[in-house]
Amino acid sequence: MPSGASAGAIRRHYDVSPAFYRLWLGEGLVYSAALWEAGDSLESAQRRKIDYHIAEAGASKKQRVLDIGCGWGALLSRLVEHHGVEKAVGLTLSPSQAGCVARDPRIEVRLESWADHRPSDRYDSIVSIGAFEHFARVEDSEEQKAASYAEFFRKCRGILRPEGRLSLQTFAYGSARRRADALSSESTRFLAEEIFPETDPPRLANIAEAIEGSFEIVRLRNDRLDYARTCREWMNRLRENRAAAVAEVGEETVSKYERYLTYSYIGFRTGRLDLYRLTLAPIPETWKPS
Amino acid sequence: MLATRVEPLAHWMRQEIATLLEIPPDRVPLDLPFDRFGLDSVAVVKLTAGLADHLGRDLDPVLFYEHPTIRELSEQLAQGEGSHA
Repeated sequence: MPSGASAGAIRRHYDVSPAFYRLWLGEGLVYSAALWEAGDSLESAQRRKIDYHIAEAGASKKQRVLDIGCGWGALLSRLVEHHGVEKAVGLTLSPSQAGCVARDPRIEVRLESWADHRPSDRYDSIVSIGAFEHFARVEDSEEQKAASYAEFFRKCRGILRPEGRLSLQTFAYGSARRRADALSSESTRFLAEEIFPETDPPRLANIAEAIEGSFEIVRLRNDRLDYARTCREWMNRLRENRAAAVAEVGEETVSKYERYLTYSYIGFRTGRLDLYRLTLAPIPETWKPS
Repeated sequence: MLATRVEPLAHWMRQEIATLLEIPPDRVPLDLPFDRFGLDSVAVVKLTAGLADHLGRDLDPVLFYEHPTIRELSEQLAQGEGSHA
């Protein structure tokens, strides 16, 4: 049984009022690293990121696309409105997020873990952005982590068409310091206890190990400075809208988020945190004579 | 005079970093990027808070990365830059 953050832990973070998140994430409510180019606003950089994953997963004009950890539904809307996808299915564990997903007959949002998802047909493409971070807990042993991650990739392979692609984005512990040092640091403890309960991000080695037998890496990018810039933009917006944010969720929560965004910014700037974008192709299943 | 404001700031930062690293202040290089000191994010946030108290104005921790050495940051702050809007 894969571990990872429970539905309760996910709700504690993502069920904080959408109005609060909108104040600093922007109207699009995209809560993950953007993909920046010169002259970008946060909004255009977030659109570029979404379109990047859609392109890497080969999802344009496809029939069935799955978004694991769909958040408030920005990618689902983009798939059906701009990329001609017939059916976009999103999974989230947060009822508040699910309630915000656009009502559209082409979009189906399910309050369900990937582990419990049993689709009737395979998907043409799978995208997962900013969810993989939650698939293991701080208290998990290395073996438990490895088992959870491997199970995730096995699951994705099993519900993806053989010619399909999985485009995955996750932050991770960087190689700038050893894992033991990262785990004992005050900032890691704060993030694990106060911000992302029951969550421990992966290392690149965990991912590389977990895909064995399920996927091969087509492309891998480390865009950690994109995440630093995104955090910076969020910090600026939260500061500009601080009074409204305090009115929405209270001083204590706002201070906590300010601390978390600052630590994250520093982590991505210094390479203690990385931001991976991986394009993965499923390993073909061995032919069996019937 | 700008220079007369830069030097005390650089001196203050050297003292603080020296305390964190447990070395004499004069061994703290002025032109080494802050991230090479091996300070974790909590230390950087505390350093920012201390500097903000010292200057009597709000400061943003991103300053330590946008002006990444003691010399550059002191020059920036001496010009009155780096406060929140």
